[in-house]
Amino acid sequence: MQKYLFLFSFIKLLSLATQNDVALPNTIIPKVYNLELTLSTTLSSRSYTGSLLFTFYTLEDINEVFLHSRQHQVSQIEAPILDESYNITANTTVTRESADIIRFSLSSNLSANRTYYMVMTFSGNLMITSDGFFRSAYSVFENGTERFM
Amino acid sequence: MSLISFNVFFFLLNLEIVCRWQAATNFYPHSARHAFPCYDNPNYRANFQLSIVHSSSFNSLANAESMGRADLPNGNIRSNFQYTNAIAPSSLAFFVMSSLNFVQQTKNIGSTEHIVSLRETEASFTGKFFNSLDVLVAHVELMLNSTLPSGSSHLHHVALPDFMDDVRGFYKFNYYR
Repeated sequence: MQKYLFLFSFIKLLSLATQNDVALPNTIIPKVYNLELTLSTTLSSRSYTGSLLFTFYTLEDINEVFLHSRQHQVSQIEAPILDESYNITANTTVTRESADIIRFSLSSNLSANRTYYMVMTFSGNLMITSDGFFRSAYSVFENGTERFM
Repeated sequence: MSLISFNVFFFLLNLEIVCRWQAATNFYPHSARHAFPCYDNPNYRANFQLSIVHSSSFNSLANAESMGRADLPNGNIRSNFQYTNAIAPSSLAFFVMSSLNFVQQTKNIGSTEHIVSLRETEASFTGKFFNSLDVLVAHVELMLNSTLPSGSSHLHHVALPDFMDDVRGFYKFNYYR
């Protein structure tokens, strides 16, 4: 019995350790997220799309950028990276590194101690559990124009 | 008595239960990554500027000050919000739903608080809670003879999704002074 308890505890600890905080390399500092989310008209569909202008500061020379991302597609295969003058300095190829991390491989290196902008579009689905960005339902009683909560 | 019963029966007969959808967030501690790609770590704070495009029949709220709504050609609306302070991704909160009651109060210190609730009683309760909190903070500041660190002159944004059975279980709010 103790053996099974130990095994269960070990599996539970392992799942907790793997599902949550997966650290990213300490190579950039996020500065600004300009985020636009577009939802379906009546929320009857769980799908949504988004666009993100991600401003970050480089701590060292880098040729790849990692971001957390779970259960949505970065639909833009090549996300351009702009420098402080808004000129494109690199293109990126997006690959999924793990369930929680996506990797942007850069076509050219980014210099240390500079600010860059990354543009990307993505799509995802609202969660059905009350976690993350989720959809839930509520009921109202309607009688003509009156509504009762 | 029979007339009342008849009226009640007729009333109930005409009632229609309508299911409505809402979209909400619960990012703490590591779930902002569900919504958008980000550095989902509390140590990496950044400024957020949020826009949400949704149907004109919906309203949206976030824990950032609203910049108003813009009509889009396809009949949708873009709700824009101002930049937040530097916060962790998990501190960002917003939701979209079709019916909201807004209660707006002006505070003594000059900032404005917005409290949203589906039910007036909860809005009232929340207002009292924040007022008490402000009194407490003012007393602490008086005792310390200094001003507590403040992010900005800001808002109290409270979102209370309508989970009929357990509202307080989903009692999400962010408090800025």
